[in-house]
Amino acid sequence: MKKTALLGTVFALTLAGGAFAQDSYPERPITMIVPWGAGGGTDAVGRIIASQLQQELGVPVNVVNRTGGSGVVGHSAIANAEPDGYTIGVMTIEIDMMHWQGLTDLTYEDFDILAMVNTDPGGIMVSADSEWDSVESFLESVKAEPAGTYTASGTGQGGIWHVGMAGWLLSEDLPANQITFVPSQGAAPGITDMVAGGVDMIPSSLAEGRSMIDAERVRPLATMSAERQEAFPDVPTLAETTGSDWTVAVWRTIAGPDGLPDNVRDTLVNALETAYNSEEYQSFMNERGFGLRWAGPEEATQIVAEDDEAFGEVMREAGLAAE
Amino acid sequence: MRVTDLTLGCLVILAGIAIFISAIDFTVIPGQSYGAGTMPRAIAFATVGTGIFLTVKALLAKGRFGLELEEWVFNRGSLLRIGMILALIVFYIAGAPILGFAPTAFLILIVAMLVLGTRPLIAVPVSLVATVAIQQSFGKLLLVPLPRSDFLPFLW
Amino acid sequence: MTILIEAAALVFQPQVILVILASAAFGMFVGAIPGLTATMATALLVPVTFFMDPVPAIASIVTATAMAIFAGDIPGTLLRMPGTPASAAYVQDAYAMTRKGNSEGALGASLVFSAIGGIFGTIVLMTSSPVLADIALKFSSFEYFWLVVMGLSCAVFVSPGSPARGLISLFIGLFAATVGIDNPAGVPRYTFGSIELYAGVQFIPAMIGLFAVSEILRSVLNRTEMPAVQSGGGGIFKQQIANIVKYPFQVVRGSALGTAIGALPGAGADIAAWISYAISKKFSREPEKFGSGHVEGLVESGASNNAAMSGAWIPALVFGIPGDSITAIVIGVLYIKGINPGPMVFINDPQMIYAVFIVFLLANIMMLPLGWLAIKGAGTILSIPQRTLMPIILLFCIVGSFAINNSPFGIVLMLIFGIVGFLMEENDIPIAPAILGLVLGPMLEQNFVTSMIKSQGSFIAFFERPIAAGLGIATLAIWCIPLLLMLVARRGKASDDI
Repeated sequence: MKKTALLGTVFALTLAGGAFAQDSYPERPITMIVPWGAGGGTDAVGRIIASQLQQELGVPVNVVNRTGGSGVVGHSAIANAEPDGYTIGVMTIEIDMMHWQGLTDLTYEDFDILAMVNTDPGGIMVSADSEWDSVESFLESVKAEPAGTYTASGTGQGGIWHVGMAGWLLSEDLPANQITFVPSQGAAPGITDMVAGGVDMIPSSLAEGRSMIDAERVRPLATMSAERQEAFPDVPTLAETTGSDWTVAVWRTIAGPDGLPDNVRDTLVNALETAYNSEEYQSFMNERGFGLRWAGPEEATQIVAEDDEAFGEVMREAGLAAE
Repeated sequence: MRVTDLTLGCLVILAGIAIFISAIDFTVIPGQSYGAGTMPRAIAFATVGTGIFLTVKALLAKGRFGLELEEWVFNRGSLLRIGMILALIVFYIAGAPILGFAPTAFLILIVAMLVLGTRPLIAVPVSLVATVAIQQSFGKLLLVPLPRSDFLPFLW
Repeated sequence: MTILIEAAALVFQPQVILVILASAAFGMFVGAIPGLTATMATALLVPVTFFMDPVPAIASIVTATAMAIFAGDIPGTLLRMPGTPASAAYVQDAYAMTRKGNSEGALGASLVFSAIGGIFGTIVLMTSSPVLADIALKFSSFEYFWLVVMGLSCAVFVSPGSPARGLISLFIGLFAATVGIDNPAGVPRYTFGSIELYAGVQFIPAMIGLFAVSEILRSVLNRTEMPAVQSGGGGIFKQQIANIVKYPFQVVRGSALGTAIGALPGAGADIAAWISYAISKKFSREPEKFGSGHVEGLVESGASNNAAMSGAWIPALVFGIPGDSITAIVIGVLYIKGINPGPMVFINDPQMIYAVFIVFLLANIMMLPLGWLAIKGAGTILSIPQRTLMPIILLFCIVGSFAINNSPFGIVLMLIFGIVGFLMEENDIPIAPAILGLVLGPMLEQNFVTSMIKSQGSFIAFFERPIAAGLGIATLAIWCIPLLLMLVARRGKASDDI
């Protein structure tokens, strides 16, 4: 009797192969979608996490870049994938902004957030040729002149650093357009333009300006975080200088489509935690000046939700949100 | 399938106007005078200008409206072959997600080769080898996520 | 000197040499397939380089890209399906040479002058990168605007047929480039609610469609067979020695211009190759031969193309600013390996930087024998009957269009642009300006709109900065001089009549 039952189970297992596959997750290659281009920061984080996951899970984890559309395309590809754990991706902060801009209906709630693996606070950087050597002196100039005298750049229209700058100006009781924001295709072209004399200020993360700061072409004035950054110990926080309590940080999370089976999620979260703590990941992030930050599924989802609300508020006030 | 200069000039003017109309609704960047419509409008103006240039030139040369058709348009074989190439591309787009890469690719190769006149004795082995070679090199070596065929697991 | 020896010791190790050879073969394979690009080769190598030491990691990328760029000329020359927008500049001449049975001469010129351009660029990189990088940092949106306009103007004027038809082609490309939401305003344009169209018209599938698919359509229409390869003028390299003797000035001019434009972040090889081709035609003693299988333009723009690839490393190494998508990826790899690009790297890790330079030279030198093998092998493609070859190429086109963003939508784009390209050729509208318009359209719009925002609508600002003024006047001259010449010619004719 027992034998027959056992045989029956084996038979059923063989027949139902697919349905039981999740018990032995993962058994085939996993695809990791990166919504941004090869060579960028998100791509690098995605690839190094993927290589660690691969060691941990024992199946290939292939990074696939689905770029364009300010991240909408790649994020949609992650959210619309089969929630079987064989498609995951890097979800970036843009998910908290693009639905406010009316670009998509997609929000963080369409994802199963597995972990947050990095955050980078915004900063205030000016050209080394400029007259400003502190946030106070810069803010004084901005206040003294009519709106639009000074320009900033470092991301696309309505991008994170645009919102970050608007939030900072609002916190200083200035209108969000006191500084004109000139859209650029990222922090690097923005910084180049600033050094060439094209714009006055870049509100992007200090990590993105690191090589130019080291080259003494760019002067970091402040970080928009609660505490000073480890990689830039000499750069004060906004609270220390102007007294503004505004903080903003980009983050990167690893997420899958909503509705991952529990065992799959647990396997992935455990593997991600090991990957995060690996020597390779830690030293890579330090080398690049990227901020390390671990948050498990619940905490990460909470941070994402809070930012979603805060950005909605700033974007409405700054006129960046769609009506 | 060639249109005369006068027709081309007029078509270009119409295209320019269409671009301009389509760009009317594009908003400017908040607080700026420029934005999404700037570039399409600039293209529209330049397009209309080029169209006028072509039209005037054609009128001066006493051109006429019209479409010149070459021989191939009336040749059933030519039309069939062109239609087949386009149809095979559509077949891939529709078929690959269902059948997977390898069977779809093989069908495309074999049909195209036979229609173009390759002998079956050559077409079959060449198609087979090419399919497997492309599938392996792209799918395995270059890690391109080609659509899987679950009934051919040994390929993956 | 000791630094150079230390650097050489890092490079000349069996493992490194092996990696270089393997990456060379890999780059050759990726580049030779229509639709797969050097950027893709680099992106695919990144995960592999994670497990290598810094020198072999960089070596593999440098070698693979150099090979891929050259190999991109193979489908262009043999089948009129250029692999990059840059090689589209001289595809007309290269393909015409193939039709005359001299594909080996055309590919040989691509190979040898690519290598010379690459070596020239490397020497500049070794000797004067800090100075050049400083100049590159003086370029703001105004300068870039003029540079793009200049590149596009060159494409219009050097294309076969009338400039008006070249303009039509250009506007098709520029208009296609406006699709999507990656524009300065971040507003979706012409997307019709499709998520895929948010990303815009990706140029690789469009290029495969315009060049390769339209060529397939034409070939099934006429069923022409290709001429067999003849070793015209004896040996692949022998012809090139004659070319060096005949066009020494062109080689230097192409290499120098390519390095300079390549050093400007974001400008790159595409603009460089087109401007070089135009200059070559303008100052040639036989401009009428351009486009009909004349090697002169190939010599100059081929050198320019690869010199620009080396030039792109100047801002990358000195300031950590990517000059193109390849260096963007490499900067990421450098960071992973603990080498932080910037001025400090020349002081902290000089032997490492010199090792990279040696790898550059090595890659460009090794290109010659490996390229020779590739050319000999590629020649056999021409002996495959078209009825068997074209279906296989069609499949490569499909896979290449899919692979660029791993999306079936790429194949849809390829199909649409294949039909567009076919109709354009039927009406004598050149295809190349459309490709360049599509590639440079976003850069043009970005720099135009941001310049207008900065200048608050004043066109005078486009001439206020000295470099911008110089570039602007040069660009206007490209447009005005032919017009003036036409007027003068007419006036001369009119006075004759009297």
